[in-house]
Amino acid sequence: MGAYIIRRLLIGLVVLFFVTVILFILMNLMPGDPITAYIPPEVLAQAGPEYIEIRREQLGLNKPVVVRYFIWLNELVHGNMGYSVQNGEPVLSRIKERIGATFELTGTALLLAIIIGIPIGIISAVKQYSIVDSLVTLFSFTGVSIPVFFLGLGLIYVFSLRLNLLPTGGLATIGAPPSLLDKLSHLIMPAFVLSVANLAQFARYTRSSILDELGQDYVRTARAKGVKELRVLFYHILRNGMIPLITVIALQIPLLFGGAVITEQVFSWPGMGRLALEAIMQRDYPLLMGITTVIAILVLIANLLADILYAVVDPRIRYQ
Amino acid sequence: MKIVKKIWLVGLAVLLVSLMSFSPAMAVKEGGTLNLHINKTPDSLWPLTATCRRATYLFELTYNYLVGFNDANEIVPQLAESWDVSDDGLTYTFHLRKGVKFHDGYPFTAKDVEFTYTLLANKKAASLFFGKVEPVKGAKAYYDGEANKVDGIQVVDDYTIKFVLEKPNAAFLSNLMFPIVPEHIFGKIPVDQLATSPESQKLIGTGPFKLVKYVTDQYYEFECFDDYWQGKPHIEKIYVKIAKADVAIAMLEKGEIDYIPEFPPSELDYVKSLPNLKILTQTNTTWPWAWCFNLKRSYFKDKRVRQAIAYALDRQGFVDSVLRGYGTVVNFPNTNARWAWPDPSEINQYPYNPEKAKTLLKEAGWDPDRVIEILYYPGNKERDQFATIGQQMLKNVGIKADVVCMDVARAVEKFHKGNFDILQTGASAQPDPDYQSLYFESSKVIPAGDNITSYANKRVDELFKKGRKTFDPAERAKIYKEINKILNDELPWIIICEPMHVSVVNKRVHGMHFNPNIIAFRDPARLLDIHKWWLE
Repeated sequence: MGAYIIRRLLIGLVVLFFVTVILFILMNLMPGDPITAYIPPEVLAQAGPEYIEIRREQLGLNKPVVVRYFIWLNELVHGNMGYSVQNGEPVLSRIKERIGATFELTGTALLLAIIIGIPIGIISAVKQYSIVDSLVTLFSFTGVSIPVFFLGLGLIYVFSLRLNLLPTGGLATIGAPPSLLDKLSHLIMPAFVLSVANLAQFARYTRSSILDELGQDYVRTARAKGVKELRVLFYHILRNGMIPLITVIALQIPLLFGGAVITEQVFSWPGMGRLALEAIMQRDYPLLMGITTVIAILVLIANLLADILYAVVDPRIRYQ
Repeated sequence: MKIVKKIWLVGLAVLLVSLMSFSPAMAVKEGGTLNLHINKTPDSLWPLTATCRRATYLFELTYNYLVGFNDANEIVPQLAESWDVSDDGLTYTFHLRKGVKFHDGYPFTAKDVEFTYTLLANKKAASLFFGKVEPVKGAKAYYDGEANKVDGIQVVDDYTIKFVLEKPNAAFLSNLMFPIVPEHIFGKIPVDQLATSPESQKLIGTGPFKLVKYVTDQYYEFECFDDYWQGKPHIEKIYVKIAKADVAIAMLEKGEIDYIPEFPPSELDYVKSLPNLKILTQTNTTWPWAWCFNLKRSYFKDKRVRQAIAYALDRQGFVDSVLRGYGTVVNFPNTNARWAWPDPSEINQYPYNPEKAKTLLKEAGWDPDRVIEILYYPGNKERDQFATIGQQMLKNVGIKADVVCMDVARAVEKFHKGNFDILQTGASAQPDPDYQSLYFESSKVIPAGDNITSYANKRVDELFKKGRKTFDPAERAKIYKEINKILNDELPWIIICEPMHVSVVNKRVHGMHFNPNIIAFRDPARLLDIHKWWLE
């Protein structure tokens, strides 16, 4: 197992290298220039004709792409992700100041999706074609298809404006002393909105995966030898049924970091999604490279983690 | 006719403003917290590199300029108490206000003015506003590294400073609306690191409020500055909250935000139903929405084609329906300088007339199979709608058009390369009409300036040059009137309309006084007298 992990990590490094090369090329193929992208034309015109050239030189944008890539890589190896084009702040510190709030939101949302979605899926599988099952199916289709901004604004309208129960957005009440209750009241709506799509998806996966297992021979055997139904469900079926779900959930982990652009915007949440969107709109290459590289690393780690978890859940799986 | 309407609207705005200030006398109350709103975090708070109006908004809380504008659009003292201009129009001597302090308690002196304007001319500072000091003697040499100081900026004593210009420039005074930054802090930081230094984001100025705290993408917290030179502000604390525009409207209703400075007119019906809010309007001549033609395209060279398109567009209908009447149709790219506007009888009003458009197109030999492109980048909810509305109106007169929407970065690249037919955009204007030269002088064709359309007219070039050298107001007015008349006839741009400036404020805020007109695009001047505001 140890050797397997090390081998996977080494392969991961090579993959990461190629991923960054491709990202860098793609980013430079994007039409538009970081300087003209964030400075309005009429302001740029006031600045004098050579302004673009001066800034390009200061930012090193006038060097060939290959040279720029290796400068970037060299700095990365030394722990420096570069500086944001717009305000010169280190990319790492711009990511850091948002990472806490991002994980808070996306982590809660994922947790909500797991602890609600999986039990719902189990119930609807066991009680197939019952009213509960139909309701779950209806709910999950609604959940997957409802646009996030619509749900978000709808909740704000009902719970903040009409019922006056929850704040419209933000991390915490401005100026109030920090408290858990205040924090939760700000977190609940965005986390719920964000979890709805995942929740529905998890419920659907759990349901179909458990239905597959229900018809298996080992289930009949277990029942035949007189094992109690609950034990059949939790001890036999669930362990096998969880394997495809591990992949589904593991693939959500990198998205945790990426944040959720729309939910963050609707609820004024200072997350990575907004930062990434801005970086794209303003062609802030260093910032965008920083964010995408971290996501690439997380994808690799999440995949490895999923593979290891398979072995833990299913003793039949062994890695050499 | 349209101008009459404009004057009427101005009158109405003045009336509204005066009614506000004469409403039943209430005693001014001290203290309280005001909640302001911006929709996105500004990309930088360093005055030399900040590009957005959101940053300007925060500058108005924290900085002062040398001069400002009054309601009649005259330049009035701010940090400069008075000034003299030499007879040849070359030397400006400013007498600075005494007893002004920066937020850290340091006194403001001529050194700070010298430092700020020298910095604007420093290439290493990557200043976006070199244009403001360019007329000063020696500024170009300093910018090019040929001199170690700007010759034309001379400190006489602590409270007197002289600016000597290269040649007379009637627009110079209005260039001086720029935040004065403290020399004792920024003088110690290497120039090329200024924009990225943590100090540059702290908004240390002489203004009525000081920045206490910034929470990433959440809010800015300001506290009143006790030693403010115009007197301690009535309001104790200000939060500037960052929220998406749709959500901000909900926050406004809930009382979490007191004031939204740029409010979409299409949402006003809803606001009118809420008892705690009031609507304020200002005419806004600084931000006309326009269709700019690419005059390098052979098929736009004939001015009859451009005029036909102007007749084809029902601009008044757009203002009445989409903008709910909060806008004015105009026919030349004006600035706020009313004295430079030609008489309405002297210009063509291009009223909606599809028949006339068809006739003109026929005369000009327009090929009905040609498909042109209307390019725009999303910028304003209402403005964006005009692209498709306009497309339909063109179709009615037999012009086929595609609408192309791109994000700013791609659109800018496209029109910088001259690869467009019609660009739909919002243009900014500064108070002095000379600012229009940026768009219409032939030496300013992109990328040297912002002459997107590649418009070239010898007479217009001549007039702009003459306008800069002329100081007699009556003579100057004649010059710009002629320019506007030519632009009205040749139509390198069709002005769609000038949207009015609509803001919504909670009724608990008192003492607000707005100039009935927005004066300058990047200097909305809405918070300039915030020290007089008070809360119920």
